[in-house]
Amino acid sequence: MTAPAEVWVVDDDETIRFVLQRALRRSGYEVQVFDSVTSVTKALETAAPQVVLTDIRLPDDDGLSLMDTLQRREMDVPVIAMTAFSDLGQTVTAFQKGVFDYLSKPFDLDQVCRW
Amino acid sequence: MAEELPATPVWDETLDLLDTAILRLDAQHSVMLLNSAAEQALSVGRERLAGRQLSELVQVPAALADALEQLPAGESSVRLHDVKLPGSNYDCILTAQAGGGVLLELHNLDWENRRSRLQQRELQTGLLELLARNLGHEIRNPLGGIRGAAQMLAVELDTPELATLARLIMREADRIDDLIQSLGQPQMARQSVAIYPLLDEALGLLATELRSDVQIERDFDPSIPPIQGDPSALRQVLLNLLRNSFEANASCISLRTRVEHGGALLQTTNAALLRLDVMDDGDGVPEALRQLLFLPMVTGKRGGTGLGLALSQQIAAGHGGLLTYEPRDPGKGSGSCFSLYLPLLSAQQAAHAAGFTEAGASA
Repeated sequence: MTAPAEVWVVDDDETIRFVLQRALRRSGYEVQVFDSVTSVTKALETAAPQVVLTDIRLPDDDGLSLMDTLQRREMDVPVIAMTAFSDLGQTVTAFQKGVFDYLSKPFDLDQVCRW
Repeated sequence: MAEELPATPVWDETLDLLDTAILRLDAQHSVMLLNSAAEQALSVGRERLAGRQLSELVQVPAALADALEQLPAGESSVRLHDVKLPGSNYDCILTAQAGGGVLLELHNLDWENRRSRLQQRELQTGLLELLARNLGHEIRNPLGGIRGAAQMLAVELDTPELATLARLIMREADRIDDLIQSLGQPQMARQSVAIYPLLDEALGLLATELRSDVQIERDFDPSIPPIQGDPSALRQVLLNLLRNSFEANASCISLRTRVEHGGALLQTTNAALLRLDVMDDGDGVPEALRQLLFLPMVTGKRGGTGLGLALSQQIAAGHGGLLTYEPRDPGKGSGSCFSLYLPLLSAQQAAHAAGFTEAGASA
């Protein structure tokens, strides 16, 4: 039997966490939410999601640093980066770092839940 | 006299590239040599100037005449501030030459002023970009939450009318997002653009909005070469300026083009600039608004977004140019004169650009 895919959402904005959690759960995903890079890094020590959906600008670190953490742990988890900057340079950096996809805020929930 | 100087004076053509007017006078104050900027400043061709007394060619103000008379021999310099010559005011530097001649430098104060205005604008633009970027980020984050929550509501609400309201919230959130995006730096093309067809096009587009009693005057320099730029962005600037004039209740709009020298002030290597003045006899800009005119969200019009001039300034800057405002009649405070400065292609660049176009057309 297959368990529902587990998605981890990392965002310091409470509303975004709430909305994404609700929308993804409705679409049948298991969801855990985190508000910082530190908290999600700690959680990665004991568990692994199928997908990480992370904001880039977080209070304690760059959300893209999760890419390095996942690589160090040899975890093959696709990362979807979210940002409110409509900045081409940052998009390029994100893809160079190997993000699976890139989501510009404000986003369309249908698009988020389609993965 | 002329025969006292070397028969073939050494003239470095790089002096013609300077935007400072330079004249070499002999001991009798006859003009021996001058650069392009000096020709422009005195509005007289080089061939007519050589060998003639400076005072025959131009009304020499007393301060400058006195300084020329009294300049001590040897390698000494005198600086005169704000000397009025026809057309402009200048800072003059007189340097005595061996053999009794004088090297006269004229620094155009209008250019100095414009240069400082340009620096001020650049600072403003830089601050704005920073502000738009950071504020944009701060706004888009909660906007993401609002839009997302509204979208959840639209899905989960059972009552169609309520779902419509939720979709209204989404649509309005998208509008705010579009607005934030429009404040970002526009991407601009680079191609050879002829200014007059573009002006005609802009006037044509406005024909439907134009009150039939508005008179359009044209005072065009027919020799203006093409500029390098983005035709649709520049058309937008022209539309904004013309529409502003119409909306300021102008009954007559004068369009004037000129070539000006002094490319250094626009920080490009081009020595020549196109200056397009859009002048009107309309309401003018209230004094309190003038300093802020090119900032976004600043408007004197009922229902205006305050983005037209900010965007126009950004487009001008994107072309290495500048947009400035002066009241047309400072005394009365009515009427406007917006001047758009754009760098012109040098003859060499123009030929190159034309070559490209022809090759492109025949291919």
